[in-house]
Amino acid sequence: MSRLERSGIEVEVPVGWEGSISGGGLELADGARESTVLHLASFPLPAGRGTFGSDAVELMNGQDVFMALLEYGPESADSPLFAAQGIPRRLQTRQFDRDALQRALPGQSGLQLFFTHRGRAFCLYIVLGSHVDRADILPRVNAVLDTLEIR
Amino acid sequence: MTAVIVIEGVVILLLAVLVAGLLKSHAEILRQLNALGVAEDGSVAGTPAPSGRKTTGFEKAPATTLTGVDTSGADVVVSLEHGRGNTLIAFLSSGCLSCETFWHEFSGDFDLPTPDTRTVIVTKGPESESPAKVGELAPPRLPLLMSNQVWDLFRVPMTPYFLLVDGSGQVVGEGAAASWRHLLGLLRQSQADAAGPGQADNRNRQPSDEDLRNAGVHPGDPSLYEKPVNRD
Repeated sequence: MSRLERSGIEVEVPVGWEGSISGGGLELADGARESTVLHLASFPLPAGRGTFGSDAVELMNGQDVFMALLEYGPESADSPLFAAQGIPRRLQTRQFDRDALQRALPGQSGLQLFFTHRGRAFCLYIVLGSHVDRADILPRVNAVLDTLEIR
Repeated sequence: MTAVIVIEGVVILLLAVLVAGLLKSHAEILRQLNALGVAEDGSVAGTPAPSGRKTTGFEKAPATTLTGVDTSGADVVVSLEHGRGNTLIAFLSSGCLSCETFWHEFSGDFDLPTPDTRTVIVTKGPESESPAKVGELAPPRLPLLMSNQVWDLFRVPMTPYFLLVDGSGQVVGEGAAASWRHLLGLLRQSQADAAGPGQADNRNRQPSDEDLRNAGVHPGDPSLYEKPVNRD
């Protein structure tokens, strides 16, 4: 098992999964910091994919998972949209919806959560390869989320 | 008459000098090719020359999870145990002349003879390679990993170098390739080797010593000295 770690965000990458983590260090011209983006997938990830998985989710089969964690600027922390506190864990099947997909593909299911953890604002976006089989897939998602740490 | 002889002599001398120069040039070319690891028959040193014979000795990839960075500096994890087809690992370098062909081919629409094969490019890490330079060469649609650790783990002997791994991390074939065509031949041979001897046409194959022993025919057996029956 491997770990991805950057900018105080750490997660274990299960065997057979792939992932990447970028950003968080570069200061942009306006003084802001480059957003940290974490991707995890149970299938081979293509290069050049979108932040929320475009060009990757099209490659998923019915048992696959795609996860994206995107950090927003400090001004978003604790704002109404990011009011939920703490890293989401122990997700439930009822939280997933066929319509909660950035790119609606037949059979897939999605979840988007906004939260604040230790003064940092995040969006967690998860796509399951099959809405019908979400109960079978979800344990693997929760196992990964159990290893996610944000300092 | 004397003048003719002198002229003939000069011409012969000039021709001799020309031939000597050509021979020296040819010898130098062969020396340079040898230094690059290319034999006279065009095969590349260290190359199994489409036989699929392994040169690093790995039966299984020494690492089935590859970690490194991409050209933008993002930390990346690539898995060879994704269980859905093969992975062709292309070990390339930004400064290697022979790699230019592969940087170019991988940037276009290419087909590999092995089915369901995903290509992953691996270069040495940012400590040894310029991310900017690699980024200019990197095919936009292929995963690319920069990692000295992976380079060392796989004991990459030269560039360009290729390793074909199945979905469980088993090495199916490997070798150096001097050209795109050479790589395709290497992959075809690896695929044929992986398919096993049962797929080959054995009609004209001569039995080996092991085949005879397995059939109970040992040295000195009378059947070895019998005339074949004419089945016409």
